[in-house]
Amino acid sequence: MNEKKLAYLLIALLILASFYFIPTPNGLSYDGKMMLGMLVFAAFLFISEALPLGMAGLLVMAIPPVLGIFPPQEVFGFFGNEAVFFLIGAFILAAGVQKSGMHRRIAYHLLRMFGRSSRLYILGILVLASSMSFIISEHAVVALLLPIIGASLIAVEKGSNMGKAGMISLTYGATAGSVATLMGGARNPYTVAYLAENYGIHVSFAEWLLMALPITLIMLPILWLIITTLHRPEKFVPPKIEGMQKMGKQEGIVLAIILLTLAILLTVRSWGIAVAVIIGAVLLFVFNILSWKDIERSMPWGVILLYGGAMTLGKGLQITGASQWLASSIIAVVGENPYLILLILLLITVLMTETMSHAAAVALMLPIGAGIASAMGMSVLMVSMAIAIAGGFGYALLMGTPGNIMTYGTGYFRQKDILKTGMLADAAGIALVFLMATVLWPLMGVS
Amino acid sequence: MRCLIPIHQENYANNSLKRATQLCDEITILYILDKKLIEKVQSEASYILPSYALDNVEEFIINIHRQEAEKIKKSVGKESVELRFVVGEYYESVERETLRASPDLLMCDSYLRGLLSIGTPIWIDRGGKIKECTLVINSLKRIKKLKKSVDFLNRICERLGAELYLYYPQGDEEGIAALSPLGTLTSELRGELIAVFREGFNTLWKGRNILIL
Repeated sequence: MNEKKLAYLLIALLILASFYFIPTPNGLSYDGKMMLGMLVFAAFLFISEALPLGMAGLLVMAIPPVLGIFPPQEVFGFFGNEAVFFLIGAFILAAGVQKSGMHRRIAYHLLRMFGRSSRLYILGILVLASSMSFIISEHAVVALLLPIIGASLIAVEKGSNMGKAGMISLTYGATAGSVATLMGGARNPYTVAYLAENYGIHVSFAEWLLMALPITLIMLPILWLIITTLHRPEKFVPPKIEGMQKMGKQEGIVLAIILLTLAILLTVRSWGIAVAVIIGAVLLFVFNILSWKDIERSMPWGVILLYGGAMTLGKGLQITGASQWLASSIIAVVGENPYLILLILLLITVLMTETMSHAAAVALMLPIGAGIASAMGMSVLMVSMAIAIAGGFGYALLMGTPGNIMTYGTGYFRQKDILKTGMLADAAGIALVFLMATVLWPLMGVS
Repeated sequence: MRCLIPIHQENYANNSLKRATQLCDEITILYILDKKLIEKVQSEASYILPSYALDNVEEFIINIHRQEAEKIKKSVGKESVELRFVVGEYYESVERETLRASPDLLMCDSYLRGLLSIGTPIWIDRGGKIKECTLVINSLKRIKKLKKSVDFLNRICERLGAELYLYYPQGDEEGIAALSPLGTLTSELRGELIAVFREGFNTLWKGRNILIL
């Protein structure tokens, strides 16, 4: 650990220690006060990246027993949740897709279909990245597609609009698609688990899809317009991609397993969200698609451990009454206009997700937002979904999402290019989620 | 004349590359892939990406920049072009390469304050034809160095087909008498290129073609 990071860690611990010494405000217990300290401590760790995010998640789980807020059995019990197993299963399924090469076939067909003009090609990249993010984590989608899109843009000049638009659309497509299903990003199953554990609200895979998919479908043409207007692509002839061979046995099996998993997720509500993906993961072994070594290589433990910290924060704030206290304090300052509150929550969530991981931003904002919704009699489900979806944005800054930094790394665009494109995309995203939450979801009966 | 042109994905040097073909006998292109970028990809993505995917991304990023560097080298179209590809920190890499290659000129397209600490003359090229060049002389204390610099500038102007003028803002008679044998004096900044010693550099000139001596 370098000196800077060590200093950040010490500052984070000092922040937490200062909460121990400040007097407990009226209406808040000692445990609640210390959980608020944990919230600020975690936010500082997530932003400063003093520790790798997974390690920060572990530390957040380890501290409450030290401070006497929760006994260790209880705090580590927060981790034992179906969303964790959903995440593990989803990563194994993604490894299966990657190993079979199915992503290359999807890319081949989609890019060929959209390859008639440069503007259409940009739309093709957006559609390709977003649709793959329905079944694979958005960051993995960018990593898998980067060599494919990079190869197709190889003849394009660096600094040209086509290069900029192509690479930006890859990361934006993955980001836009990641909100649509529970498999797109870890924050989605986390939100489902948070709602179930703290409010007894159960959201199925199909219900999430129904609420979130329209946002992706509307966001894609908006992003396309923003990208192609700001970076009007020059004439572009996509290179001929070598004809794909017939679908192999392995690919066929993976496709069948994915379809079966999705079918169970969409139809059998009583199995929750984890059972289907675990069945899918086991089937990948049964049919010799994956070995245990593949699993070891494909499991990003960081996000799974971060999830543990997130659950500790969410549950801890709820049980100790800290989230309700924080909510009423915020309402006292901001007022009781639900539209204004929703808008502020969305703005803060997007600002936070631009500076820290999506999952971390949602983990910090969800207890606050749900607490406010509960205190004001707003729909907890509506506010939580809005935060979870806005927490998946992060279009403007390189650190907004790993996809941005990966595509920036190719050198096709500069920081200022993604900044101006992303600010418009963030604004459009906030407006869209706000409209969905206040108009469409109520019409769909979300209450 | 030997020149070094550092290139970074945030600082391309198209003007410098064009000018260098006219100005320099030997060109070294230093293509720098920022080490911090690779580290940033690591730190931002390692918690969420499986290791195989992260390795692939890093390899891909390095390869695509190597290809870009080769493309730039070819685009210069001169045989005496050396390409150096490094993964490192920008200023550190430039400094190290300056020590290795001892260029006469360091050429780039935009003003970067960090380059001022490197002793080599820095050319900031904004493009366009250069017909006249003015050397700004604020002090006559180091007349030997001044004479050397005027010789150096004369060589540059000769290659560019430009006229060199000397601008002495103090304008005292003694100074003018000392400077007259070195070249044509002017009472104002003129031409498309301003040459100036680094202690007299004015950041207001950032947008123009500048040669910092």
